[in-house]
Amino acid sequence: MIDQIIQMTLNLDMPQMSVLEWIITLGKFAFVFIPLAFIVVMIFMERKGASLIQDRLGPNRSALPVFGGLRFFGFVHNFTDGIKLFTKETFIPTYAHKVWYVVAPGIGFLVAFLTPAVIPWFAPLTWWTGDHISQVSGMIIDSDTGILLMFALSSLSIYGTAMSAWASNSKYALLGGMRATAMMISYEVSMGLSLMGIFLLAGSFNLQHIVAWQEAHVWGIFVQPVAFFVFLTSMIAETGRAPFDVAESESEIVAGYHLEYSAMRFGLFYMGEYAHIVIASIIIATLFLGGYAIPFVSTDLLRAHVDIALALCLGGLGTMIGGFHLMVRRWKKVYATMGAKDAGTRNREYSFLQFTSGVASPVVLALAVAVFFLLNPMAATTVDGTPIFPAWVSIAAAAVQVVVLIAKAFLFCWIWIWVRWTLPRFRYDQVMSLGWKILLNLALVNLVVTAIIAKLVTGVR
Amino acid sequence: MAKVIQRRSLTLLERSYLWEIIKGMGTTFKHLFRNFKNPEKMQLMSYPEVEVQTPQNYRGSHRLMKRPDGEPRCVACYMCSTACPARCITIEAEPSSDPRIEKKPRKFEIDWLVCVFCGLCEEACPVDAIRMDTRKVAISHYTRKEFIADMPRLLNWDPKDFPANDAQSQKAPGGKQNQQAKQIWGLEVKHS
Amino acid sequence: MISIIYFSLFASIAMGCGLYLLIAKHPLYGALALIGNMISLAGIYSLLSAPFLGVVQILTYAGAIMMLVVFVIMVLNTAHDHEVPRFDWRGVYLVPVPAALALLLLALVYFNSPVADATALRGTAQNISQFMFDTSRTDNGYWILFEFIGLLLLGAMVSAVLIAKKRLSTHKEDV
Ligand code: SF4
Ligand code: SF4
Repeated sequence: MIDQIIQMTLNLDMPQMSVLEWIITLGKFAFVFIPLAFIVVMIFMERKGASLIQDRLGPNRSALPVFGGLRFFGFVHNFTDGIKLFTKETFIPTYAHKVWYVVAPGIGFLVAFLTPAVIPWFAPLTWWTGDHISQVSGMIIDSDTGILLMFALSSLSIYGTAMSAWASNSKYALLGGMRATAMMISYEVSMGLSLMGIFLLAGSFNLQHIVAWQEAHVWGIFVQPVAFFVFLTSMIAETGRAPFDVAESESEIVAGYHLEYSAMRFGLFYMGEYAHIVIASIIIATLFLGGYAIPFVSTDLLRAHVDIALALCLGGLGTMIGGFHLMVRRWKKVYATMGAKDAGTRNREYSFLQFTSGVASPVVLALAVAVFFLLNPMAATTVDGTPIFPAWVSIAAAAVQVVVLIAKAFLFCWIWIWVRWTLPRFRYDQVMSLGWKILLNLALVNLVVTAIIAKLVTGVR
Repeated sequence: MAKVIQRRSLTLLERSYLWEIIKGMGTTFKHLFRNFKNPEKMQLMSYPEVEVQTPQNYRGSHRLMKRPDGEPRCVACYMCSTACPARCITIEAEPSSDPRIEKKPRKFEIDWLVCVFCGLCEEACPVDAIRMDTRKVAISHYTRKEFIADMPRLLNWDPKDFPANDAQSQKAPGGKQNQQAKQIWGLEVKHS
Repeated sequence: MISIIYFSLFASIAMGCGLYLLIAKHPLYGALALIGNMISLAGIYSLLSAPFLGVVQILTYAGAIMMLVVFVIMVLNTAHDHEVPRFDWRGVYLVPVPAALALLLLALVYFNSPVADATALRGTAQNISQFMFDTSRTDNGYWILFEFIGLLLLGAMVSAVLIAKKRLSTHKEDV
């Protein structure tokens, strides 16, 4: 693991890389920020989803001071929230352990930054430079340990919770921290065990290999439905969200382990939770939904028709903007009939949004058509019957694959929100009995059955 | 006779919990989809842009009723402050200039931060001098001091905001029935 | 060169944490120092081209086992623990034991000189599993040991549950 990092960062014991390879290898580190970027959207999604499920509108008052207050249906609220968190007083309780109180919230957040390193964001890039084939992996750390590294990191993240609970020197916080710890320990077992079936099938811990296996055969969710269920449940428990939020159940122990935290230290917990969800969603999408792979389209096929794929992506974007346009139009009408005092300013905002989206949608669609007609991916050479494409084709295909992965991850992010606003909280003993008596056994049975079936089907040795 | 409802034991499907979760998630998604499709059908109001009309008999903030000459109707009998469970009414009396009436309030203050809006003051008043029918329910200020409503503020209301059949309100200065009131009471109406 | 730098970094962290574990006043600090020690050990394993071992070290020892230790320390009331004298001079008599062990290890390394091909990744999951479970190798009996250890742990777990559950026969547990 460390070796790879060293080799990657300092280019030791490696053939000299070309400039493009360098750019891609270093540019991959930008994926570390994907969870952060997700958080903003995710919080917005959570607020809107929750409010619509509960028959209300959700926060929609914060506004950028242009065009009569651009509210973007409440999206601006995230940023005002951020300003609030940053500018509030960071309070340290008198009897708190100062050092750990300050350090602990960062641990969980740090882990969220490290885990994207083991996720394959796209298929390994191969391209023809003119005289040889260049290859760059789709992961930041292309290690054999793969997802185990992610498990190791997430098992370390619990120290953030435990130490913050202990350092706040509050009984409620300690109770919350202990609940979180016990739950994390319990669910990590079934989480790891449930994945053994898919490791067995793919024959590797490396997520890249697992995705490649799924691309070649079938998505993990179809061969491992039980594992999918167990893993999803344990992941929801790991993130500590409802219905598994016993660690911060506000009706019993006020707010659990982050009770004594305020301002941005609380914000770190808050954002760490969402980052954790995003990571979990991406991992689940990678393990069970084929990761970056598009169903029935192999990477080679995608590269050969990358113009169509790009055009479809852009077309989807254009259609989404068009849908937004229609939504704004509808809202404009709704607001006009509400008899609100600020109907004039709102009307101005909606007109602006309507106009911009009305212009942007055809432009993007036209761009899609242009991409379809102008781009022409041609194989530069062929090695053993596999076409090798020039660099831009590989990179464009990689971009499409990243979009596909993110779309799949969004699906799971939504499931997190959906489950949270549907189910009531489990009691603590229910959480424990679910973890140890049901999920663990399901995972074990799943592993044994998978092993037997795999042996029967392949008949190895 | 009491009706005994036998508790039904859960079926296997229900006990598995999973199917019920899926049903519940179906319900929430139904709500989400419906509200996304028809946001105008949601039972909500865009307060404060859209004014909420509370019903006339809702216990809102107080007002002091007026005689047709604009004097407070209150006779400073302390009944309301005695009845008040929150002890938030402060009254100071002074002799009334009207020979038929013994006292009138010099100071009449209600601390709206302390008030629990129970309506007992309204019930206790023997001369119907205090009412809570202003329909103002959102009382918001920047300082604590502003929450203490003194007499001018309590007397400051417009008869036009109250229904025409509310004779008491309409008899007050500015009301429709002023002329009538003047005839009945035989008093000059002071406009201030 | 770079691996020397990393090694000295990890080694110094490991040694520092180990020393702090011995002298820490509060048991929780000791546990945290031990965690730091284990994480830097994992780093050293990775430097020795055994990333699998390193990750498993973090996963099981630093992640799971030490978490339990920290959990127990947090549950127990340790408010008065710092009144206990933290260094017992009688412990010095025991110094020869670790010293002898260290000498033995050094001697082993010196005389056997395990020349490792440091560039090859030997400690990967594949290699380890082949080494342990490949029954075609004649010199391989590790899988039997593995099964025995598994059985032993299972027995230990069952007995631990039995000991923890005192009133198994008298009380009917209400679920
Ligand atoms: S409403 Fe109740 S609490 Fe408020 S002033 Fe009247 S009697 Fe007192
Ligand atoms: S009970 Fe009526 S008349 Fe008596 S002091 Fe109160 S408001 Fe005035």
